[in-house]
Amino acid sequence: MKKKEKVKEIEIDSIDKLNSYQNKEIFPTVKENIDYIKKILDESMDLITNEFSLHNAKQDIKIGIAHISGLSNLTLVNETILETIKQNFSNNAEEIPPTNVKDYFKKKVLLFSEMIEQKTFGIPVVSMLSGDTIIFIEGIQDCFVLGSKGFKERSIEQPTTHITVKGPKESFTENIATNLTMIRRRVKNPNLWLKKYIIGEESNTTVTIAYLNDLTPKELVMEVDKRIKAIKINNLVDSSYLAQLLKDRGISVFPQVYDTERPDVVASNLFEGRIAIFMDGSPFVIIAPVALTKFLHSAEDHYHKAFIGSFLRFSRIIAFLLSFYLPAIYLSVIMHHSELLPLDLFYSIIGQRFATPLPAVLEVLLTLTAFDILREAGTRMPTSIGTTLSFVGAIIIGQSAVEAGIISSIIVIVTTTSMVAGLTLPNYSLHYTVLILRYYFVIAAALFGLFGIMIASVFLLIHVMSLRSFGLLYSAPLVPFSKEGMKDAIIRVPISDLQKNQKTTYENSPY
Amino acid sequence: MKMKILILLSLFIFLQASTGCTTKRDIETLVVVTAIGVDKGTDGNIKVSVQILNPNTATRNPKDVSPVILLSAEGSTMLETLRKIAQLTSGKLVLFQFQVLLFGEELAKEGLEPYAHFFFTDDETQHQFPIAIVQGETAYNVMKIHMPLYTIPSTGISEKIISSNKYYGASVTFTDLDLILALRSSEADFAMPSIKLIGDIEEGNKGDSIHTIEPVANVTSSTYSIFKEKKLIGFLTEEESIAYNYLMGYINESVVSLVMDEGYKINVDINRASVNMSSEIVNNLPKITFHVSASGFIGENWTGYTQTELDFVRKVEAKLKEKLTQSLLACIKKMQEEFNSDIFYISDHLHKHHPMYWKTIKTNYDSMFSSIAIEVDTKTSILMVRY
Repeated sequence: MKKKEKVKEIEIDSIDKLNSYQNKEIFPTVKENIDYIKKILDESMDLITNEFSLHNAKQDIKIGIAHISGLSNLTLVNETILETIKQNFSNNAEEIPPTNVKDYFKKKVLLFSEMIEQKTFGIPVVSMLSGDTIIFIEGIQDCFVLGSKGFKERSIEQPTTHITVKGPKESFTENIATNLTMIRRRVKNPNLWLKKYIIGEESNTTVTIAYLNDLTPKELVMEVDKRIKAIKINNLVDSSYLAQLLKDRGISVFPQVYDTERPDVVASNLFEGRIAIFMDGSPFVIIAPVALTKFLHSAEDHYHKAFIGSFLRFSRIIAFLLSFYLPAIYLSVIMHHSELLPLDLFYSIIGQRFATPLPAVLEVLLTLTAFDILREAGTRMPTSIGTTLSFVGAIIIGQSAVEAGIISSIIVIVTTTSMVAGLTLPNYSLHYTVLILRYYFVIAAALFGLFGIMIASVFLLIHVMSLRSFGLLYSAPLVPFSKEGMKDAIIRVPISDLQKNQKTTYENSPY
Repeated sequence: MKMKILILLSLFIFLQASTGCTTKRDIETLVVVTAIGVDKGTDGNIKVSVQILNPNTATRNPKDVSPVILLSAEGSTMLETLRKIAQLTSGKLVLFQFQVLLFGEELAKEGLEPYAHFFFTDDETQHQFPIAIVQGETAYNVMKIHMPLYTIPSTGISEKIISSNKYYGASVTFTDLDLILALRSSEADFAMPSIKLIGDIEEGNKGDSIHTIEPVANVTSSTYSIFKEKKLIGFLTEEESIAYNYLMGYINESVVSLVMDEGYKINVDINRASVNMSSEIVNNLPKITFHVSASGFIGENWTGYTQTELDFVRKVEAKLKEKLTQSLLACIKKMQEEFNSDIFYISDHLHKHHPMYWKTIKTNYDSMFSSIAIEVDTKTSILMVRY
């Protein structure tokens, strides 16, 4: 019960700043109310309003109803809500004193579990726009909002961005209620607390934060709460808006919050003491705070034995490093340090370089750009064309460019290896980070060779170590080093060891 | 805190320094030398020949064009001659990829000292390439021929020297650092690997030569060349070369064929050998003992049976010991009596272990070398019988 009151407080808080209708009091007559609703929605075609008279042995009373077609479940409204009201009213045939109409309705007629009572239009209108039904009663200056959400939504499908072979196969949908149930199903614990916010002055989007009360530090919850309340924005379309609004200060190419469409990932992060932020209308749930190592983890690391999980993770870290270091190292070796190559490799590379007309830097940059264009085109195209495009583009353009002698085949090998290595990253946000870093290191290598790569790496390290995600150091648990945190950072220890003192796992990472 | 900053700062500097120079030098602009040969030229000059990599051949069918070209010039010093050769190419020669350094026999007879310094101090060379003497030929002629099995001929030469050391034990990888150390040793006597040309040089130079199944010309790793006071004086035989490797501890793997008392042959595949030199001064004369131990397994038995009896193994061990001791002593004897060259660096050993004594004999060591008592104490063991 305590929790519900809290939710209400927040609702009212966030509504204060809304438009004029928010504070408009309910009119005493049904007709006036219905007309007002029609007025603020400008008689939209999907608005359904109606006025009825209820009869029983003692008296008649007029009620009005308003809901949005498509958003509300019509069967529920007609067969349950209206039928129940009618039955209850006629069965309770007693004289109602005019001062007591509200109590009578609350206690005898409107017997619904999901019902709130309001004196102003604010919440009822927003609720109606999310599928609820408003009931007006002649003579009382209150309205009742009855839950009747029932719109069509996408069914639960397999995840498309974070794919695993083992493990759960469901992903979040655009409906926040469905998403929250997926988490509740996995975390059957009264300590899973949900806080609701309405954000977006125009869009009135529902945002909910979820956390395990006993595991999550209070300061973190307060920080997230503070940041969400501080958001001033007209509309929220996707949770990535939220991710950008909530991030810590500073410009960075690194993602500072983790977004996922996998309920199992969200659940496991809740158990690690993190906060999940759900947004209505987005299948991506934000997890905060996160460190860089988190982006290199896949859910599947935990679904295999510890040894295999560690191996997968290790190879992914190597792939991550290769994905931006490889073109740079290639370039610096052939431009500055060709003495590092053994003669056979040297012979093969010099032969290929000799046969192509472009300078090495230009060749690398051109190939990288061409592959980026191909990748982007492949992503934006419909799936059927996209796959064809990327394969055909890579093979045909790549191969003919090599055969025509414009670019050398080794550069295609280097570039595609680094691209493919980048694709091993389970989190989609990091792909673009790697893309930028690749160019950064290529330019450093072209200018100063391995020395340039080293300088660039030092600057990158300084940058990563200065980043924070909701106060948590981004480079944790590597820097500052935390033995407890390392159990699940680079390698993964067996599950039993991992959960031995789970409550301290988060506390040990410096927050 | 101060310590931490210091550590970080030194780490930073160390990391930066470890990346090397940043001279921009695009790979396609390099004129890459894969082998260098030095010969005696006319009028007291030297003749330097270099094999330059032809990058065009890496992507094309190697049968069309030769993968390397041979350029040579005569000059008074190494660097001057190399610059002269560079006139024939498109730029400065880079030496960091070169695989083998060859000296012609005629030149070696006059001493190698003048040429070692250039390679030793050059900041581009990698100090890992083998050096070899060309037995009975000029380096120029050896560098002319196509090498069967190897695209780049110089790789073939260095690989042959290395593999001869690894599997036969008749050679060693002798680098420019070794040459410098040898030239600076007390007596400047040393032994160096050599290579030998077999077949027809003129035919081997032609592109057709790589089409024949039997190579018309080839290069093989040969026996040790012996230097006395920095000058080439002769060559060891193959058996003596292997013995020399035992005495110097250069053996990785080798084979020894034995004839047993019953008349059949046994082959012992040596896969472990070590040596330890010890010395004592008896009656104001040095007494040197080489403690050689070798172990291996029986790889071949001409009786046609696998004999695993302990008696038999002991017999083979005794025979192996006898054979090894005999051949090692033969090698030492030849050095003492025929060449009078201290290729075992005994002088260095005495200098190091008996410095006071060394001072007294330093001046006439050369004449007393042949009379030094050198003994060989061989330990052999058969670890396994192959069957």
